This record gives sequence, structure tokens and C-alpha cells, in this order.
Amino acid sequence: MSQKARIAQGGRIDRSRTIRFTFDGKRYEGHPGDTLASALLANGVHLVGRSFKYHRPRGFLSAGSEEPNGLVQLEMGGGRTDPNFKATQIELFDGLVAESQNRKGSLRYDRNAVNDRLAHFLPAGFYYKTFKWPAAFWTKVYEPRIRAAAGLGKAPTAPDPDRYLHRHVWTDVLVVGAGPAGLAAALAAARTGARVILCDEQPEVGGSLLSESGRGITVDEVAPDAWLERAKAELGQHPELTVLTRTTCFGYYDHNYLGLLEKVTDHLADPPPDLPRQRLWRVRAKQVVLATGAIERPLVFPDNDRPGIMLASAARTYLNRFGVLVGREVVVCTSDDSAYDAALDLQGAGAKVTVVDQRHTPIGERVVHAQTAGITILRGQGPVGSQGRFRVAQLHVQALDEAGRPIMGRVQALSCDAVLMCGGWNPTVHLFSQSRGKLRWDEGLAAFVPGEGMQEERSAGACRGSWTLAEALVEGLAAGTEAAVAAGFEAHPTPAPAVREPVLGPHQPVWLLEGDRAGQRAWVDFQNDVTAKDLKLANREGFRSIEHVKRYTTNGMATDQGKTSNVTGLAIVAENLSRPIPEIGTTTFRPPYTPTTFGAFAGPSRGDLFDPVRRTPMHGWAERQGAVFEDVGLWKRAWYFPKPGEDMHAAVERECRAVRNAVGMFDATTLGKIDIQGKDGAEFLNRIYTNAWSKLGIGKCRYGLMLREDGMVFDDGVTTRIGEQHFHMTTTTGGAAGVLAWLESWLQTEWPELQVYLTSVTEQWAVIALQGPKARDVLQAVLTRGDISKEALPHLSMTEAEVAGIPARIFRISFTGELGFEVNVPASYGEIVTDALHRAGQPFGITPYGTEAMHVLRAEKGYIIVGQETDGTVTPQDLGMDWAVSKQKDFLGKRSLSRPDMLSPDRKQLVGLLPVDPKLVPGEGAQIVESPKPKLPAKMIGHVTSSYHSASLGRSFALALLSGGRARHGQRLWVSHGDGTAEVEVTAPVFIDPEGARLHG
Amino acid sequence: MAERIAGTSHLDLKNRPSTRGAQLRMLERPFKAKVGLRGGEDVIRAVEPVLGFALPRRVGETGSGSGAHAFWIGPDDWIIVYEPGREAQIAQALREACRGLHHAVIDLSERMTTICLEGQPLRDVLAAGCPLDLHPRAFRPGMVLQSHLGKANVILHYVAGNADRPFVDLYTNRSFADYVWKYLENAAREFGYEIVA
Repeated sequence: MSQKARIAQGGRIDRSRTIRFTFDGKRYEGHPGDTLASALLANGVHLVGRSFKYHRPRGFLSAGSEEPNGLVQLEMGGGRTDPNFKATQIELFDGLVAESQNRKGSLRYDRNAVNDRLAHFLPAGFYYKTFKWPAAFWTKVYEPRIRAAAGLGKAPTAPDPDRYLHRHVWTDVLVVGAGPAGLAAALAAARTGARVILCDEQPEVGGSLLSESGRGITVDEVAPDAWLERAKAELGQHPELTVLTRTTCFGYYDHNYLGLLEKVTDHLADPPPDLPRQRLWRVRAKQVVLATGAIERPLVFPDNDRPGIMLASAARTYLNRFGVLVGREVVVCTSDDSAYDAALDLQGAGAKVTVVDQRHTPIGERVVHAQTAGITILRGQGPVGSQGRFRVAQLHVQALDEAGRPIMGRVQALSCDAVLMCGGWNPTVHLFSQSRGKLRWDEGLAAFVPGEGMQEERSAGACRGSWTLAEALVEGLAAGTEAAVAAGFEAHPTPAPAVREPVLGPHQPVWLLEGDRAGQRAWVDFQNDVTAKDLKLANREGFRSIEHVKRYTTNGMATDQGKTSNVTGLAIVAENLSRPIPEIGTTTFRPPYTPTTFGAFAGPSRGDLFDPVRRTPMHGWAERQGAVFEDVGLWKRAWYFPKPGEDMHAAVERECRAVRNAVGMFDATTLGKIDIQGKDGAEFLNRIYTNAWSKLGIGKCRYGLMLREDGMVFDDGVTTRIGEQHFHMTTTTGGAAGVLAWLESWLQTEWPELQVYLTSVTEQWAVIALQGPKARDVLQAVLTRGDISKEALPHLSMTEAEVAGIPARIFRISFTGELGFEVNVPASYGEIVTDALHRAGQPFGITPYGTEAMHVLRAEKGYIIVGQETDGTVTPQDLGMDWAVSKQKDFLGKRSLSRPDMLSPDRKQLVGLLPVDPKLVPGEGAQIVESPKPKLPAKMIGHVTSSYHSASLGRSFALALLSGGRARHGQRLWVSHGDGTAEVEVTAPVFIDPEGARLHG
Repeated sequence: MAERIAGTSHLDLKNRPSTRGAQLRMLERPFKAKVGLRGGEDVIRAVEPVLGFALPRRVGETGSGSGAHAFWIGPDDWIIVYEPGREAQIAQALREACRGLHHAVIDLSERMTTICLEGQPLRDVLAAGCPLDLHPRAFRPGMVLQSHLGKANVILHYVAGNADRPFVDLYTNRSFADYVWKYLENAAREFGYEIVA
């Protein structure tokens, strides 16, 4: 059998089925229920990675999500590749392909392993000290080399082919962690009828019980296993209890909002295509129970990082859950009773076990059991070194004094193939801390436990430092009940289960075991290669705040976020600085608890669903006319309508000529439209527009400018009086939502006395603009009711009529300078009316035109576009639009317009530019300068805002904002163009029909 | 010959793939009549006799009668929905009733479209993009919610049915129908859905 470390029976794996997988190109076998880590260990593979900086050989430290060493790249085919996966969390499936990371060459012969020899030159902070000079070397030499050498896995290069979904959910009680405490809490809460979610990162519920041999433990007279089965059976009986396995609660945010990541198909060889790969649960919980357990601490001693040296709890999990015996000759080093469970279980599975206990007089019941079982216990001794290149072969132990310092004297070498360490336990307080709860150092437990909470939560079991099973079950029951009651449910008292288990003796931490030789390195952060020496150096160099020490040494900054290194690191810093641990404090716990893929956060927001794509009702019609579209806000707008063989330039020229000489039609549906009703409508408009509205007659339209309080142009549009107390406002396409929110905020917060109701009607109407000398002829041809004659419907007026049998509001408005109508019909009829107008227009040469031609036509006439001629720093005076600003009444922004700077003659003012070369079209945004070859840095006196070729003028032209521009008409200036400049003549910003004869035709 | 264009016309729902007999059924009903009503207590008193039922006064509530539903949108804001074709008549009757009062009556039939959802998975499907509590204890028949689905504003009206077979009408502005429809399809894929067109 190739799985030489697999024991014959026991564990939660299915030995009847075999799974094949590949690691670093070599094929192995495992069983359903295995993780990649357990399967590799079953095959005797302990060397699984190289450390980040020194490229030291590394094996698994843990069996869970705290793993710092066993990171792999998962290759899933079809562009799927994921770096930095913890092999301890990957469920094995048939055909799994994994590669080790952070090596140059093979795991055994890593060429970067030379770094380990150079360790003296690579202490903490070497980066900041070494690469300072010469400065030019940074980009050319240092950074490229460091980048090549650094890094863990490879980022994928192809787009992520998987689907990710989100699910919002509300719950009365969220229980995080499905170990004994979490199970007890969830069941207690569910029994009250509350809505409960129980989540756990593991594929099955049970938590620590999944790794439990059950030696000497009963719960209500049965083995823990049997209790777990009972609890699982009850989970299924509560219809309002949702159990989410393979689901990590990664973030705890304000207002009891929590993020859960469910790995839906990651464990499947052949995932069903209709399922998302992962689902992000966005949970709003009335109450939260944290039952997140605890993470065992490694011991910090010289060369504690060799493959085969792991946490005692991990060895126990590999044995009891996965049926893998991690060594035949095992030394257990501990300062805590819990490791004796591992010693007893591994001895029971056939290993030769020696315990090295740092405590001089351990007294717990487990110690007695071990002694009875014939296990050698070396009391008052500790590890001070190890040997073994790719797997530990020897552990050096030495007697310790009462304070835990090695006593000079004989170093005993114990031969072994596995070392299990236990430096005590850290409650998993990450989520509690994320919820802004304050941590408290418990001297007796030698651990940080939850202190004062800030949100509706409570902790139960090991995550609050309650180590025993009895405490977990009692606290879980109480927490679940309390949470449900706090959420408004009624609980009936349930007795806590009766638990028999060995009595624990006290834990006595020894934070750092220093070796007998100078220069030895004892690892604190395994992933980032931070040693106790590095911490000492940082303290010696003056770093005292733990936040600074963390950043200088990178302790706790790896992808495991210091789950096994933070507390030992700060305890060592406390010793170095001779200060108590609580004074040092902890660094901040931040989400996510474990790495979470970007795809899960993006969820469905990609491709078609990245943003809504808004289409007008005439979109399909325009498509059939060959339109090319452009994005304007979320809208798709017809940009131009090329005929076969035409480029954009030719199409736009043709469209512009048609409007000036015959008639064009244009889809103006996207303009914002706001319905204004109420007796104070005119007064409201007076306040928000710069011009006066009181005297506007019914059926008349007026152009208006809106300013912000600072006097800068914010939006513009035409508003029409439909009735005495009824107005129809139009806004820019992009500004529609913002303008409505702006108006509502003034109405609701500043002017509640005004009787005005605002309603968005942008989407109620389809709008077809007919523009050109033949516009009236075309409209008349399909007009079924109403009068659109020059007399009945003069420029800037509106009539209710009927077009092609459809009721319509017809506005006489022009944004081209030509005779123009804007026909508004109920949106769904937009295509019908467009089609009718297009047919009727054929004899007149009607031409659909797009936004580009619209831009050219309005610029020829000097009409501004907010956001093109304006950028939030432009006033009406700057635009030469004083005619639209009332001198009599007050309006938003008025006071700002009389500030001294607003009146300065050198403000940038709107002008026209005619390039001396009539074929040259300056770039929009091009800077204006006063000489053809200005001395650098050139004095920039303005910039081009719009620039086109004009068919009507037979030449190029531009609009620009120019310092003191109105006084410069007739001047010759230069605009930046390509590598040089181009000469232009400054003119008034109107190029066509300045008298407006066409407009009123 | 050109036709009236609905929010999903370009998606050609008749020929879009879907699963016959799936638990979740979806269709678009674009042309229901929707009338916006704004006003205070005086307006409520004036229009209730015309409507024949009481206007809802609190968030989440609807009023219903003779084939019409009134949705609570805000303290002085309602949308009243009817079967297609009556919008002009309803709006006119409401305007008459409100004459002389501070009010707004406005036809929104064309602004919004309705996507009808039916079947047990619809809560989970909507929960893929809607942050409100859609659990049967919180979202019950006869209620209306204003929220969003992904990046689109939506109004959800629980028309009828029970927890196992709810009927929900989703209202959104017409140009967002494309996004909402595709969003629902994407979220419903794991459950299967039948398009009724």
C-alpha cells in the first residue's frame, strides 16, 4: 500500500473508495474525506513547501485554516488556477492537481535555498537598509530581482471562468462555528422557533469533535461521537435552521452585518454547471453567537520549523479524523495538558511517544493517564534545537529553570520522525475584534479573551477561553438561548448535558526557548520567516509599538494573518521590553478571516450584469438603420449612422448637411424629464434656475441654467409650462438622477413650505427630435391632430397633438439652430412614431443622425454642453450667458456670482477658435498658449473644450475656454497639437446664423 | 410593421431558452396601468371614494379593490396599478377628485414595467440582489417593498399565494428591464426557470 502512514481503521474517511491526485507532478492516492494535506501525509509526504524568505524546507504545521506552510497552487484546468490555497483546507477530489509554491527548481533542490545561508545578511528590515542606494538601482536592479524572487503562488492570467453569486439573508440568530458550543447554541436558539443560521468552514459540522477520540469522555452517558450524531439529527428537525457548511464567516461589520463565503463547488471534481462556484452570503443578524473555537500555539525554539514538527492538535486531527499517523517515533513538547490527548491517541495507534513537558509539576488528569499508559514524561524540560533536513530526525531537549529558561547542562538528543508542539491556545477572537469588541488579557489562561462587546453578540466555548467540553456545551446552550430571547423569542429551560471528562491542570506558557548556541533562529511567523531574533532586533533598534514591530519585521503580515504567530510574537516583544503583555496590546484584526477570492466580492457584477445597459425604445430601430452606439451614462445612444463604405467622418458630415439643408431625426429620449406640479412650481423654478419663470405663459418653453451654491453651472435644459401649476423640466442625460436628488433635497430640507411635487418621467416618454428646414413638412405629413404652424407653435412653445394616431406633446425646441420639434410620445410607441416619421420624411430627404452630428451642430451654433464646456469651475458669465441670469430675483448660487474673483476680467471665458489651417482639428483638451514655441514651462491661458470639422463651414472650428477670452476676439494664438503647436484665430463662439433667422423659421 | 416596444422586447423571450415545468415561472407584463398620486390627508379623503378602497398609510402596505392595488411609496406618495387600458380614465377621475387640493396625479404606465414571478424559489432568486428581508415571516401576501436588485431600483409586490407558491410582481423602470431580467435568469439558473411569453 502506498499510503504507508494510513492506519487500518478509524477516522471519517471512506477507505472503500480511492481518489487519485497529483502533487508536483507525482501521482498519489487518497480517500473521500481526506484533505490534500491528510492525503499527502498518508503518503508520507512531509516536505510540502519552502518558506518565503529563506526558502527553508517546510511541512504542515496545522490541519486547519491557520496553516502557514502548506500553501499550494491549484490547477483546475480551463484557465482556472488559484494560488495560496491551504492544503489543509482543500477537500480531495479525483483528478486534483496541486503544485507547491515559492521554490526555484524542485522542492528538494530549491536554488533560492542559498538565502538560508545568507540569513545573517537578511535580518528584519534588511530591505529598508540595503536597497537605499544608489537610487537609480531601485527600478533597474533591486525591484526586478526582488519581484522575481518574492511572491507565493502565480496570479491567474486568464479571465475567471467561474460564476459567483450573492445571497442577502436576514436571521434572528447567526451562530459562527459548528463545534460543540456552536451546535449547542444553534439548537437552543432553533428550539425557540427563531430563524437561525449555523455556519462552519469545515465540510461537516462537529468542530473539535471531528478530531476527538473520545477517550475518557461521555456526554449524557454516551460517547461524544454519539452526541454529535444526535445533534446532527436534531439540526434537520428545525425548519427555520439553516446549516451552511464549507462556509467561512470572514467579516463582522457594523450593525451586525456579516459576510460569509460558501464554497459551493470547490470540492467537486465535476461541478454542475448551473451552480455557482462560491456564494457570498450577506447576513443581517439580530443576534450573533461566536463559537469559533481556539487555535493552538506553536512553541518558539531554535529550528522549530522543520517538516514533521507540527501542532499537537493537528497530529490528533490527522489521526482521529483522517486515519493518518504522522510519525512512528513521536516527541510531544508541551506546556499544556491538551497535548497529552495527542500523546495518548498516537501511542494508542502504535507510535512510540515521549512527552517533554516544560512544566515542572504537571498535575492534570491526562498527565496521570499518560503515565499509567507507560509514556515517558520528561518534566521541566524543553526543546532547544532540532536536526533533520527534509524531515525532523532529532529533537534536542534541555532542563529548564522555574522561569522556563534552559539551564546550562547536558542537551539530550531524542531521535524522532515527528515533533508535536503545544504552547497553549489562543481563543479565535478575530470576529469579536472585527466587531469592535475590546480584547482582555487573561493572565490565568495566558490568552486574549473577549472583553467588552460593542454589538449584539456573545461568545461561547473555546473562543472565550473555556477549554473543556462541558463548558462549551453549557455556554453554547446559554448563548443560543440568550440570543433567541434577545431576538424576541420565548425559551423553555433545557438542562445542560452532563459531561464527564478528564480534569485539566494549569497551563504555564514558555514564550521563547533559547538555544545553547548564539545565532540560532527560532521561528515565530512561519510563513513570513520572522524569528525571535528579528523581533529582538526590532526592539533593539527602537521599535516599541507592536504595530511598528509588526510592519518592520512583517510578523503576522502573511496570508495567514498571524493566526499562529501574533500572540507569541507580542509575548516575546513584551519580554524583550520587560513590560506586561496587556501593555503591549494586540494588532488589529481585520477582515477577511481567511483569504477570499475577488470573484466572490464581485459576484454577478460582470459581463452583461456589470452595469445596467439602458436602451431607448428606438434602439432596435436604430440598429436596423446601421447605427453605431456610444455609452452616455448607462445609456446606449446612437452615435452615427454610417452608410456602406462610409467612415465616421463621412457619416457625420452627411448627417450634419441633411439637418442644415433638409431634415434630420434624432433620438432624444435619454434627456432627463421631471414633472413638476403644485401651486408653487413657478417660485420653485425661480429659486433653482438663474432666470425668471413667474411670467412664463402656459404652453411656453424656456431655457434655464442651474448653478450650485458656489455659482458654478451644474445643469441646463428647457422647462415648459404645461398648465398654471404644472411644469415639464428637461435635464441633461447624465445629470438626470443627480438633478432630481438635488431638487428634492432643496424642497424637503430648505423649502418645505413650497407646495411642489416632483416626479421623474424620463422613461415615460420617447422623444424624437426633428431638425432642419423641412422639419415642419415632415411632421405635418403624419400629424393626425393639432396645429404646428409657425403662428400656432412658435419657437419655444408646446402643443398637445397627435402624431400617427398617437397622443403626443410637441415642443418647438432646437439644439441645432434649425427649425426644430421634439415629439414626445408614450415610450412604448417610440418606434411606431419614429418609423412613421421616417417614412413620411423620405420625400424630404430625412436623415437619422446621432450624438456626434448633434454635437457638431450645436457647437456651430455656440450651444454649450454641460460637462463639456463646463467642468464645475465655469459660471454663466464665463459662458457669456448673462442673458440667462436674472438681476432682480434671488436664486441658488447668486451670491457667489458677485465674489471679486467671479468678476475678474482674466477668468476663462468661452470663445470660438478657427484654426489657420482649415483642415486641422485641434484635440479637445488641447492647451492654448501665446506663442508658437513657448519657453517651458509654457504659460497655459486656456483649453479647447469642443473641436470638430464642420460641413457647413467647410472647415474646422472649436470652442474653448480662454483667459480674458472675450477681449481677445481677433487675436492669433496657438494650441498644442501633436509635438508642436497650431495657430488659431479667436472668434465669437457662434458660427452659424447668429441672428437666429433659421431658428424662428 | 413597427410595434409597441416593451422593456424586454429585444430579448425575444418567446425564443429564449428556459426549462418547461420548472418551479419558477417568469414573464413580463409591460403595459399595466400605473398612476402616481401625491398628496396629503385632504387628498386621501378626496380620492378614497373614487378608488373604492383605503390608501395604505404605512411602509410595506398596499390597498386593494376592484382589480387595483395602491402601493405605499412615501408618506404622501402612492402608485396605483390597474389592468392595462384604464390609465387615462383613472388619472382623470383622480384629478377631478383632487381639484383645488395640493396634489399630483401622473401617468407612469410607460415609465415602469412589471416582471411577474411565481414559484417557491423566487425568494432566494430575489435575495441574490435584493438586500431586504424576504423571509415568509417578513414579506407576506399583500405587502409591497421598495428596494434594489443589484444596481436597479425595484418595487416588489407580493400579490398572492403562500410560502410554497408565492406570486410576486416586480416593478422597475423600463430601461432597467433588460438588466433585471438577466439578473433574475443568472440567479435562477441553479433552480431552473420557465419563461412564459
